[in-house]
Amino acid sequence: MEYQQHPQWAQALRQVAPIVLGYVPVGFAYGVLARQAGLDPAAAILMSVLVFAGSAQFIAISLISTGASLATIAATTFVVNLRHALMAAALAPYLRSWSWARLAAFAAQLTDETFALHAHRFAQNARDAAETLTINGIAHTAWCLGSALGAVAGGLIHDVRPWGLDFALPAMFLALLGAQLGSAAHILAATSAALLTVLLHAWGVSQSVILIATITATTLALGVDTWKRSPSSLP
Amino acid sequence: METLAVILAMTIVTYLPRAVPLLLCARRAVPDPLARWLGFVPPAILAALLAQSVLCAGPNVDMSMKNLFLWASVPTALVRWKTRSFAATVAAGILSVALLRAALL
Repeated sequence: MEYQQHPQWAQALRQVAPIVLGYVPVGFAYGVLARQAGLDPAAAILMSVLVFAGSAQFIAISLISTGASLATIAATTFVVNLRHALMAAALAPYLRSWSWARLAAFAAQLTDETFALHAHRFAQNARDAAETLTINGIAHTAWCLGSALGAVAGGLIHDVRPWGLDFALPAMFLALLGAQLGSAAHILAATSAALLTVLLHAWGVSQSVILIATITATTLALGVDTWKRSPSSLP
Repeated sequence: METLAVILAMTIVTYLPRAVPLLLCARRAVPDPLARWLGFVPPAILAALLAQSVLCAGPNVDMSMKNLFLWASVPTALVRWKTRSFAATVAAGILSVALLRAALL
């Protein structure tokens, strides 16, 4: 009944469900580790409310526990999250009609997962601001809820792996990637980015892997696409 | 107090890269080569995130037969291809990992 009065909520919930399934257990793990690193529950939860960046929060926790300086933690967080600049720039052209306030709110909740979902939605002309921000709000709430449960009740559950929930986010990336392979150049961008990511990890690079792989792969795809389009490339 | 300062600093350095390009690019026409370049960002970034989460979840790259996520990716990709459903794909992925773990224990 409630859903019939608020179809927007039902729509948003249906789309964001996979992110919620992934965020609650990962947020829980973050909460547990934050407590082990010496943060009190309020600080652990506050970080999820204000920062809302999964991998950067895990890295910050480990830096805090080793007594790193504020400057080190801030610089590392910046580098780890720089990939979001690419995501923001890629989504921006779809949001021309949005107000400054809505753009500012959207930016605060732009994560790998909400980006993946919106890149798909926006390309299909689903750009309703209220629905988009509701999706982000639910995802952010799930992240904070998981963090709070982990920070407060961390001793109760040690391992969520038997439920397979740790594969929720990889499965979501896979599902959304499938919708992005529209042309040969897009497939080239995807395969070269995946290959570069694995190579960089194999070579021991641990920082900015996603950023480096993405910039290289998109530039390669643009180069090949431009070359194939230009008449002078005909033999 | 120190922790609060750390959290606030993290908030600022996380928000700026998310907000600045969005606010800059949402109000003006992006030049054509840049627009096309940005069009390749979603497939590249999603493939990079997928590769990282499946093959580089541990300390080392794992492309061995013991990589459970690699195995689970096969039925997950099949369901994506057959159903084109986002929810069904994620459900298939979670179920595959849960079943594989149960079978191997």
